[in-house]
Amino acid sequence: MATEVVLDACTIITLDGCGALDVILLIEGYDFYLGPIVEGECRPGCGTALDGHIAAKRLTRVPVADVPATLFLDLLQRYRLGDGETECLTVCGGLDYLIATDDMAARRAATELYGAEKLTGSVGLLRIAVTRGLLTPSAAMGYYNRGRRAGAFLPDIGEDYFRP
Amino acid sequence: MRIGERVADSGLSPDDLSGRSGIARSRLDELMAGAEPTVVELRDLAAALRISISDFLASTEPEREVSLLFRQTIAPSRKRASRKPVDNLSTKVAHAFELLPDEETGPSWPSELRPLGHAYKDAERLASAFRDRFFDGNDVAPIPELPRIAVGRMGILLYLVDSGEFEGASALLKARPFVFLSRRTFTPRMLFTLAHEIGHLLAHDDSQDFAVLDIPSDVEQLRARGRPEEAFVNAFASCLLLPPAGVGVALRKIREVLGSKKDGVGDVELLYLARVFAVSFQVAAKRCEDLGLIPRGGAASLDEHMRRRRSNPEKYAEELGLPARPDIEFPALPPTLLADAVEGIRSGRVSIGRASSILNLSIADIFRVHAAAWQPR
Repeated sequence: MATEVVLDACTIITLDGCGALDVILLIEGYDFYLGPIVEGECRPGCGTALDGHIAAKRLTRVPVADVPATLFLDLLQRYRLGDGETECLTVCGGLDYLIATDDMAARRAATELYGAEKLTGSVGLLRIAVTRGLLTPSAAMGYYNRGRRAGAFLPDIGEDYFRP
Repeated sequence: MRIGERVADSGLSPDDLSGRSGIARSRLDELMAGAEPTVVELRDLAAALRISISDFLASTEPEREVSLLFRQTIAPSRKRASRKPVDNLSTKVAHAFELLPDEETGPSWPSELRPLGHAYKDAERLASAFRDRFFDGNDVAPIPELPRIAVGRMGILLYLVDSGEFEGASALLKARPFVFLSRRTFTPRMLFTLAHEIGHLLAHDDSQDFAVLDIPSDVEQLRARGRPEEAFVNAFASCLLLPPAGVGVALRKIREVLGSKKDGVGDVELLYLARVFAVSFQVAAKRCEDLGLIPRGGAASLDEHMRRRRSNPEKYAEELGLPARPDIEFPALPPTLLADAVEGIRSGRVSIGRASSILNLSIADIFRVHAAAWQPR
């Protein structure tokens, strides 16, 4: 059974900006989703890329009915995160998906709500891509460095992080 | 949830809102009647109303506290009409505190630059002390860069807002100075309002939080009305923007350029002076009246005369070919707040999505700010 991952806007923008999104969405055994609010936050910058991935079924839109407004508003009030981050938490709660976000405050909330095992982010996904043989550690490090230079909010890591 | 309240505040008709949001009119009626919206409907409604989804939630404790401070200075007859702008400003202040670091304190000048009294001479002294401190002691030159000084050396959190209901507002909260200016096409008016609001920040007791909302008549330059403090801060704004030494030097040069032979200051000299000091004709005329350069009541008479004969002082100045005013630039966002937001995202104090919503910037824009400010090792 595939691991289902809901992507937050900062992770999509980071991965698309550094050129790694195409690779990440090919990881076997993983299905990737994005919610309607996150999609809006990624457009127009990542619009073309998203359209291509959605059309190729590498990325699936979360049905609106799977983002219950009551839970969404409850989490919005409780954590004071952005709308897209809160949408990811809502989806993760309702559908038991993994949440991929690079935002520290959103990661803290996700850990509190669902546990660290339900959490990943750009560097975590790059690492999975390395373990599945889609990237070498140095290629993953190259994407990481490109993302940092583009202003992504990524943790301080070295190439060792990507070595199996 | 405050969907109905927010829709009512917007002043949009249900048909307009339906058109803007893409939500069918019948569904909109259901939502207004209390039906539960989907997140997409919340998103589309928020976008149509130009607010964030969190604005549909009940106001927070900090918002209510700030709102109360603003309301204390509003006359009872204006309280109802002021509810919407007060709510908007209170939300902006509360949001700013989500981005600002807790440990940092505000600037020291509110407790160090204080008026001795509320007479005109006190306003003159305070304006001179202000120029000493923030304008390198220059008591002659025009000061069109006041917005830059405000957000830079003064550390004011300066916001531009779209509101026809008020002219400006200021607040000192937890030692943080805030100024709000309504966007106007005639930027000299915004410059005067900024000076006026700085006057409020200086005139208030800095040991207590306060907030003031100014409607256009509070910042009226020719006929002071309303609270006594308004007359003082209007005087301070005039003295700051038109220093006596500067007015003297400028008038001498203007008369040379115009080849004026007769005594006294006429409408053309005032128009010229207004252009040099980046103020309106009315502000220049009132200042010359206060400096004894034209008779008491002369500013209002000249203004009335000008409007009767020429319809608009600015048009007349254009016809005369007078030089343009210096540029007045207002930052779209408080720059310190942007830097604090990025630092807050890095430390996990605030999320990037929340900062993006508060600052009305895209997440990609915040990445760009981050890239420019924090180069990785």
